Amino acid sequence: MFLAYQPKPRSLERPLKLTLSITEGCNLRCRYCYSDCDSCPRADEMTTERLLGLVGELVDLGNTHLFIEGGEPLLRPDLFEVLSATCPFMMTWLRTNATLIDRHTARAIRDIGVGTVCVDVLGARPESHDLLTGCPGSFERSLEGIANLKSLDVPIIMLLILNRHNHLELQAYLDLAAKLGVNDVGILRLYPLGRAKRRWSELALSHKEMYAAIERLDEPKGMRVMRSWHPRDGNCCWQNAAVGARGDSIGCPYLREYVNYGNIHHMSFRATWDHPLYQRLRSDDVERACPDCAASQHSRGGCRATAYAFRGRWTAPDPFCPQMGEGVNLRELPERLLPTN
Amino acid sequence: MSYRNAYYRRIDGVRVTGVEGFGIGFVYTPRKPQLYSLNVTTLAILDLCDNTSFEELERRFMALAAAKVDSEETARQHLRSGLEQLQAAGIIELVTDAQVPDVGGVTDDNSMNGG
Repeated sequence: MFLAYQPKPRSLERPLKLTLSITEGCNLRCRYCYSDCDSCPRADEMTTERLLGLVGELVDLGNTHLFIEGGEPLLRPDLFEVLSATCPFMMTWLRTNATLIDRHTARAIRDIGVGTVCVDVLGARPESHDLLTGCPGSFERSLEGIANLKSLDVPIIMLLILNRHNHLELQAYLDLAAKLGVNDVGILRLYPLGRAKRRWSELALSHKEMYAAIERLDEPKGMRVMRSWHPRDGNCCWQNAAVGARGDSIGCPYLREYVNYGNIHHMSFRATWDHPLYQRLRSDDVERACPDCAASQHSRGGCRATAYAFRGRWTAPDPFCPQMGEGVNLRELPERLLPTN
Repeated sequence: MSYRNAYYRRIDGVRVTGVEGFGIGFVYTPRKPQLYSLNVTTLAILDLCDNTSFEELERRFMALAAAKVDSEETARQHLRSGLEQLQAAGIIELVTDAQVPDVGGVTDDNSMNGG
């Protein structure tokens, strides 16, 4: 590269990446479900017409990244109608538990142009996965779904949320991914949201336990492992957006219980981007930053969702990074987050 | 190989979006769903792939690059490399009149029949 450019403050006209939850219905009953999903979609979820209107707005804004999740998106009968509106214009990631992906559905996913399917596999063994999903047999069904996608060369990322029930089997998890022919794995942190919040003491790990789990990994050749701990703890509010299943613009799926920038039933998505708090969170205004994380992620202070959850200030440094943790005990939730019942 | 009336153009359906202030852009290729990020030089090259002739594209790129690089050859290397990468990614395609190499003379479809 030789043509120069002048970086400006982070004042994007629109988000680079948007996560769209299309349902809070799910056929599994995961112990840490952030959406507190039910077996049936909720009555006030966005209609097909509303979803297509939002997609049209995103296309008009020039967005090229769209991450569709739920709940379980495949429970929505109009999923493929929505995908037919997104895939020609935006790289579309579809997050699913894959239990409903038979060969026919896998072919439909490929043919409609989904870019990557992100499959939640919660552990390396049926015992841990099924314990976490609350559904015996779901491990085998998810793996069948992955096999159906793989047989058609659909790109897959396997996702695992690190917690007390799976932290000792991470290496086996990577080996399982390799055996399934999946070269991309995302190891995600646990957020104090939904059911995870209510089961925090059962699920949460200390800094020491988390870093012991991720630092001892021997990544199989050719595998890419995404993880968001030090030195890759990014503050991605500046580029991210998310819209919940009921149409609330929430900036990031992990901010769902803390912010609401407006509902797209009442305003355009673009108007929610201008919400004063949203602008503030995009401004890089943090009290302190880890230099290593800032250097690798080009952003400061780490994740705003966990910073706010544990410290109650939008400008606080993220305690998940030990450099910024200042002794915060991640196994204990602040009282204000504790469920009242 | 040089082509008579050869030109590069963006492949139908490819979507390009610049990221203001960052000097990068994203390109989405729906035919083979992939997302690419392009640096400012490759974005500039892509911008020039607008159905103009290769000679004109090269001339415009050299003018753009003149003050930024130490030699014309360096600029040409950047251009060649950028075009190759964009073509390999399925973002642009090389189009020629009848896809015929410019080796002089007139060639038409009948000549393929061996007379």
